[in-house]
Order: sequence, then C-alpha cells, then structure tokens
Amino acid sequence: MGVFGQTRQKVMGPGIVFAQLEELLKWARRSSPWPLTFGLACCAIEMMATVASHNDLDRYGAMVFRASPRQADVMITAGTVTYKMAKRLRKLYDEMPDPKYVISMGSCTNNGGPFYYDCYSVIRGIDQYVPVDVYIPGCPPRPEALIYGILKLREMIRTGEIDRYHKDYDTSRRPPADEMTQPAHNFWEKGTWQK
Amino acid sequence: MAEIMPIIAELEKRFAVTHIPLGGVPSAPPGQPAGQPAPPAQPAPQAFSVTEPIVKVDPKKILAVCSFLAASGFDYLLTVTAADFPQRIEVLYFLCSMSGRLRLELKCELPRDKPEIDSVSGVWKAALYPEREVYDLFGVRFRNHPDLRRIFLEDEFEGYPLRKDYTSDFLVKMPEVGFR
Amino acid sequence: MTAPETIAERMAKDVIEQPVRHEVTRDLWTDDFNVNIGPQHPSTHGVLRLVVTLDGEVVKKVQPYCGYLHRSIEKISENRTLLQLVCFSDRVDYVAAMNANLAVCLAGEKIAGIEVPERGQYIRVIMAELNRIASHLLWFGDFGLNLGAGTPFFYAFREREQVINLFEEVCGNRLTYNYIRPGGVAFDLPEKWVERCQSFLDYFLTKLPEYHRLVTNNPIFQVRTRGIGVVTREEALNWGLSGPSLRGSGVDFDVRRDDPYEVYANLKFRVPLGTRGDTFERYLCRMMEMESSVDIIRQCLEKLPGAQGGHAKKVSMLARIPANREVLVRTEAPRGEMSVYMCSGTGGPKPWRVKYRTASFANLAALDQLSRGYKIADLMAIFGSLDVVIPEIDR
Repeated sequence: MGVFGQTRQKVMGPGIVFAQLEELLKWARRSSPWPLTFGLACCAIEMMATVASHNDLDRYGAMVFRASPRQADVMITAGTVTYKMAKRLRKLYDEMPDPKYVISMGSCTNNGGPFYYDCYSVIRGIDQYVPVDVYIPGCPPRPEALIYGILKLREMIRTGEIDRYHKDYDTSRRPPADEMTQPAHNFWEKGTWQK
Repeated sequence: MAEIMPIIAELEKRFAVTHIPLGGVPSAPPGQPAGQPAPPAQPAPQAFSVTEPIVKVDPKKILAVCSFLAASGFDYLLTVTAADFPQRIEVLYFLCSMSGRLRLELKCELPRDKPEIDSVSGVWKAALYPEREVYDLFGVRFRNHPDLRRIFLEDEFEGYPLRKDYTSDFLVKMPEVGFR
Repeated sequence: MTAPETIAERMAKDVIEQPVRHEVTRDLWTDDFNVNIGPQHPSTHGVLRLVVTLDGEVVKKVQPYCGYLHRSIEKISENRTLLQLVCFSDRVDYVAAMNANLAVCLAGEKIAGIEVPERGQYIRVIMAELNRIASHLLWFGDFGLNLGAGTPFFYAFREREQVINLFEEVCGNRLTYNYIRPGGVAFDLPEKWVERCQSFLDYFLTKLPEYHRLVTNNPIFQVRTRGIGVVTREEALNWGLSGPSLRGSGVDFDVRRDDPYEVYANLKFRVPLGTRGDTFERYLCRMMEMESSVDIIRQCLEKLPGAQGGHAKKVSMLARIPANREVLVRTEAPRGEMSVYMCSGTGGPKPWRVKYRTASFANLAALDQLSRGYKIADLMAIFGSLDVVIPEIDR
C-alpha cells in the first residue's frame, strides 16, 4: 500500500506515481509539522525530553522548532497559560499562516489543571482563546503521550478530518487579541463571545 | 543564639522594639492556690517563630533599624513578605548574616486601610523585587521605592489578591468535599 | 588601532582581569534601541520578557517583566492541607521538584512538630541530591543552547533520562514527583533500587570528563564566559544572590553545611567555591557540585538504615497546625537558597500563609546590573549562568 492510498495512486513504472494534489499536500503537511517554540512551564521540560535522543521526535519530522510563528505549522502549548500570557498566545496563533494546528499539551492548557480552583490568574483551558485540535492529558504528559498526540494529529490530517473540522470552525466565536479585556471564564455558558 | 542577644538588647535600647524569643514566651504557671484573687486576664497570645527570634518594630523606625542592623553584620536580606490578618497587615523582613550565621525576623504591623511603610531598598538591594511583590499582592505602599509598580499581575488588574477579603467572579473556590 | 589578536593569543594571555566594558566613541549621533526579548523566546527558559536598551550592541539597561507564569500558588496554598501543599511545591520549581517538596515538608513538619524517622531522612537526602544532578544537567544543556551550542543538550538529557528512570521506579512520575510528604516519603525504595542507583553513579562519573572535554576546555566557550558578568562579593550579598551564583563570587556559604537540615550534619562533602565571580566560575561551581552530589549520595546509600525504622511517620491527612506559630525553613535547592515561610494564624489543618523564597527571584533582580556594558550575546550567557527558572520567579 503506497503513501497515498491504493485507490488514489497508479504506479506507471519505476519512479512515476500519479496521485491527487490534495493527497500530496496532506502527505507533506503531516510528515513535517514544524512546531512553534511555545514551552511555558513543566510540560516544556517533557517536550524537551521528547526532542532529546531517548524519545526522538525527529523521526516524525517535528523536531524543527521555529521561534517565529510565521514559519511554524503546529503550536504545541506546553505549560500553564495565565491571563497575562493569553493575549500573546492568541496573537501568536493569529500570526501563524494556514494551515495551522494546535496541540494542547498537559492538564493546564486542557482545562486549567491543578490551578482550576482558588486561582485568580490561570485561564481554564486555552480552547477559550484558540481552537484546539488535539488534547493531551497528563501532568506532565509522558514523552510517549506527546508522541501519541502528534501521531493522532497526523492521522487527522491524513484522513482529512481536520480540514472538515476547520471548515466548521467559526473564528468569530473567540475574541481577537485586541479585544481581550477580561478573562473568559464562562465561555461555555455564554456560547459565543459577546461584545 | 547567644550572639544575637547583644544586638537585640541594643535594638531594644535604641528603637524600643519588642522581642519575641525563639520558641515563644513561657506561659504563666498553672494552678492558682485556692483563696487567691483571680489572675489578671492574659494578653492575646502572640505568634512566635520556631526557627528564629522575632523583633517587632514600629513602622516609622524600620529604616533606622535596618540601617543599624546592616552595619551590625546582617548583610543578607532573605526576603520581604507580608501576611494579612483581620485587623492588620504584617510586613516581615528576614535577615541573616553570612559570616556569623545569625538569623532574625523583623515584623511591622500596618493598619489595613492605609498600609504604608518606608522602603529598605536603599540598605539592601535585595529588597527591590520583593517589595514590588508585596505591593502587587497586598497593596502595601513602600515610600521611596525607585520603581513601585505591579510585578506579577497586569497593570489593569484591580484589587490585591493575597488579601483574605479578595473576591472576584473569576476565582472558583475549591468545594469542600470529604473533609469533616 | 592594534592588530586584532587571535583566540590563541588571547588564551595565552590568560584570563581577562577587568570586566569588558565597552566605551563607544561618538563620531556620529546614534540613538538607543529597545529590543523586546519577548515572552515567547527560545532562550528565556520559559516565559520571561526582557526589554533591553542597546547602544549598538552594548547593553545599557535590562528590564525584566515577569508574571507571565504567575499561577498564584501562594493563594492556593492557603486553602490546602499540609499534604496537598506538596503537589503545588512541585510546580514552584519543576526542574528540582524533590528539593521543593523537601522545603515545604520541612516547614510543615517544623510547624506541626512532626518527627521523621531516620530512614525517611536518608531517602529524602538521596532524592534531593539526585534531583540536584538532574537539575544541573538540564541547566548544562540549556546553557549550551543559550550560547548557541546544540550538542551539550543531547549529552545532558542522555544522563538525565537515567536519573528520571530511577525516580520513576520510586514514585511513578518523571517530573513532578509529589514523593516527599510530611512525615517522610510516600513509598519505600523498591527492590534493588540501591544497586541501580550505585551503578548509575559509577556510570555518571565516567561521563563528566566528557562534558569537560566538550565544553569547559573549549576555547570559544572560555572566551565567551571568562570575565563576563562579574559580580563582587559585597554586591552579591547586597543583591541577595544565593547558591552557585553567590559561591562563584567567593562567599563561602552553603545551607546544607552551615545551617544543616535533615542528615546533612552527618555527611562530609565539598562545596565548590569560586573567586572571580564571572560566568565561568559560576559554571564551574555547578559542574563540581554534580561531583559533590555523587559523593553525598554514595555516603547516604552506605549509611541508609534498614527498613525496620520505617520510611515515614504516619501523619493524618488533616494534621492540625498549632495556632500562632511561624517558621522559616532554609534549604539549598540547585538554584540557590529556597526557603519556605509558613504561618498558622488561628491553627487548623490549613496554613494561614505560605511564602516561597526562591533563588531565581533574587538572582533575576541582579541581572540588570550584571549585564550592563556587555554585549547582547553576553546577556544570554549571563542569564544562563544565573540558572533562572520562571515558575520560581512568578510562583
């Protein structure tokens, strides 16, 4: 079975493959997801451990960490996001070019984690500010868990599920960075961001 | 412990401070013999420290006390912090001396409605950031601090979170489950 | 203008005695330039914002803006019992979580009067020193990355994985252990853990010369770190620096030796001391501290009492803290001095106020003065040598 699926490719001879352009693009996108360096807290150490030689992230093409959001594909938010940082998070997400993906790594970015209660500064989950594609639970998640999350993302890109999800996704539901004047605590009750 | 007593004695003489020794003041002996009049009411128990002597300083004299202590060998300021109580805010200074291994804690009590005190960042530069933190989280103003502004929270934040009466819509209290 | 000298000539002249302060002559009018080393940056070890005022390439002023990771751990701690506090101390310094756990547990035990059995104390010291090795390894890898060298990172993590495997066998977690609890430790050592630890220590000592060959004796590294970021003894004390940053300037103070806690009083170990107070001395202090930690762990493994003493004293989940007590416990974390102040206002299972005095907060305050006059690339070297982790600053 080839890279693009048996039904979609025809091998005409040695070195010649026909495939749909979309399949080629999906192959390229899932084989080299370049992350944005967005390690914030403890999960960043586990992300670094995943990059190190014991659990090699280079095998999945994801070790090229780019510091600039203009050159990155996937934003792996690793660590607690406070309200002070949330504006920057949203800004960096907006600066990334399409197609872009977000992996929320760790409990703090999933839903606030251990800082859900009695905390006046940590936002309860980044999905109130950016759309998340893969949630990785753990505090901190093991390197194997992060690799599984990246593999899940690859699977979603390969089957096209992520493009269907992004078409339904409505950016206007979440406020842009300039309008973020207060933390969005009851996002799920309100449903849409109301000015 | 013995090396610190002359310094505390000097402080008591010059600046009229109160000394709470390590381990606290021993309480009154129990058991009054019958027929004696009732003993006078005990003052409210004072907090003592298990690890170092506490010296209670009048907030107006804190700069003089700190200059004196810096000259007497307390060259290292561990940190400046505060604790919020129902009637007062206590500002605490933890000092130590690297050469003599002495330790000391200074305590200043400020009223809750207008907590203001002199900054000691002229004596020890180690006080610069902790004083900003105390201002940020408790609202204590430090006079003559070169750069008194919020350090952890954003500038538009309203309120002083570490005070016990801080409430906000955003804060979710932990539900008391399973504790009796 | 003298002819430019080669690195070899520079090395031959030995160490630069004075700090390299650049005087810029003004033939043309230039403006200062503000560079924002933003919260998202590969070199800031997390989320810290530095606004650097530059004159060409020379740093005139550094303004750190912290608080991007302020997780209000102190406010949370006021509503948690002594046992639940430990979980949050992990997050205060996640690189050296065992040391942070230890500090908070010591504070809780001192204030509530809980005694720890001897085996528990030895196990705690072993874990704290192993975590010191792991933390210094991580710092070593990151320091290389700050200077632009990618190889030390992989070497350091190769050894760090071994330490973390040892921790995982003991408590199940790789980073935030929650293992040292009030009263002792959570679980006893598994079977044959002592042998595995010994073999790791033997293996580790063969790897340290590799690091010295790779980094310490590298002439480029020497030029980039010698004479950079000099801090004198008096300044270091005034700024409140601690740990290797203080010892690199010649102040011979180590909380483990001079204000001992747990079983450190029974152990003999060397504390490395620098003289010049520059980045290279701080770096060497940390590298030698790793060897010293190996020594401590070996002594503890020999002296470890048998299992009949118990690894922990049973402490109830709702252990009450007596009213009107305060305590300040000082420990030596890998970054410097980590002290926990705990105060019990009216008593009860939860403390009234918990304050973490962390070394990174004080070390960061000195960054401005340390880096004035050096170039912007040196700023990263100085920042790396202070070994700052952001959650310790912001808590």
